[in-house]
Amino acid sequence: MPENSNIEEKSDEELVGLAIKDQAVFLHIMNRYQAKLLYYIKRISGLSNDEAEDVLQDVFIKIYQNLNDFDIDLKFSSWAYRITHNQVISNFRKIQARPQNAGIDLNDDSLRGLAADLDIEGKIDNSLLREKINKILNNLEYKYKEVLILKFFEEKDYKEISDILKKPMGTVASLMNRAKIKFREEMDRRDSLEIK
Amino acid sequence: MEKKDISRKVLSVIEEKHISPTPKWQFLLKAFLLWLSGAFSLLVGAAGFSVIIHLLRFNDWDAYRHINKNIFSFTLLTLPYFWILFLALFIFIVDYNFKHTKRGYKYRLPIVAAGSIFLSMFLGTAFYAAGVGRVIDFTLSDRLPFYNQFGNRRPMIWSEPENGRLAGMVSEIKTKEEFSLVDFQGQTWLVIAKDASVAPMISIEPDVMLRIIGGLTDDVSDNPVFQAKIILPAEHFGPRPRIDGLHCWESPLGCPKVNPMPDMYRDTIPERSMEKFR
Repeated sequence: MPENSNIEEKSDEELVGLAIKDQAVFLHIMNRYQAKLLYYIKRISGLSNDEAEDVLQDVFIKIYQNLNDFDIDLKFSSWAYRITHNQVISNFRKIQARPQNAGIDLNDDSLRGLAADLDIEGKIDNSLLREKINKILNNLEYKYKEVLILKFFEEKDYKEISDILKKPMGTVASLMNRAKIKFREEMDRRDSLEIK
Repeated sequence: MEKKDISRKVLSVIEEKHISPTPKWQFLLKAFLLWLSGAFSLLVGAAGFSVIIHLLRFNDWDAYRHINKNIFSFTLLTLPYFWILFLALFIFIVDYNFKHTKRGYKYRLPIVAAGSIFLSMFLGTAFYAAGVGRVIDFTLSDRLPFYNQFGNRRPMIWSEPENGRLAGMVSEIKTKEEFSLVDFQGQTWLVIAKDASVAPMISIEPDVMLRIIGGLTDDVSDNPVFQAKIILPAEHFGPRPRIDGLHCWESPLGCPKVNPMPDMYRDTIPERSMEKFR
């Protein structure tokens, strides 16, 4: 196994090449992505931490088994997120369940980014922002929720989202627009209910 | 600490279960098979398109008034729906295969669909020019039972003597105004050609395929009698009618002898312009 200091300097794509020959190198790939993918699983699925970790283990095994299928024209992170997305969907199918409405782990920067993009910063009290966005996201259709999470919480650009969801960029843009419209509609509906 | 635990746990599962990366050749083979089946579907769809061109080209445009009231309803009646559905199915398969290639998802479905339609039509036109459409239509007409009920329906359309349409092969010249014709059901008819208009490019002699517009008569004969008003050539109807269930080349009697048309017969049925038939 190459020395750790050397390994840490290598790109993800280089590590993939090494991990095919030496499974110990795969540990470094996992360490790089463990936290990110675990958050992503929890955000899109609403699974508990333990359940999300089980899914993550399956994801890592899938990634390892498919290392030879990695397309060097893709970013490794997009490919890893794609496998994670597929595994979460497959997990839903296996347990015949819909995404659960557990709280989504939202950090302040992401929240502010989403609020600014949707032009809703002024409409809601900052202290209620997190709770409100959480509820609205959980009430959105899965396809809208996921695209918003990828854009604002995983901070992926359209090209990366296109590669993760395996949809054309134009479709991702349309999906994003519809997701924002749905989000605003849901927010307006909740506001009108609160006023009454 | 937790971070390291999950990764190490996965690594130990990989070691314990002897999991290894799937060999690259398996992914390459899968991709190759996907492209191969896509290319095959494209060729099959293109072959279907060549049959569509063939059927449309040899549709009865010269006699549509005798089949339907106007050209629009005639076109709707005679469109090769089976082959259009066949083409659509294979375009769908091409789209499906392409979308499942490594980079297929990058393209929008309308673009992929338009591309595969264009390619199918382009190749189909080339196939048609090479005679593929005609060969497929002929072979299926010959070998596939009921093909003429859904594939090429022209023989059915021209097997309605009660509606004034009859087609088949001339089997015998009886007199200067009468000849025998075997239709697609193997039925022999006595055709009376007196005063009939004959398309200029045909000569009526044994083994010649004809479309005849006219009507049933009450005349008595060993065979049913059809009074011809217009006689047109019958090209690309598929295999010739069978006699006693056999192709002429399968029959112990052999194929009808092609006799030169008697001159007197030629004189009796004047050649007229096709315009007069329309």
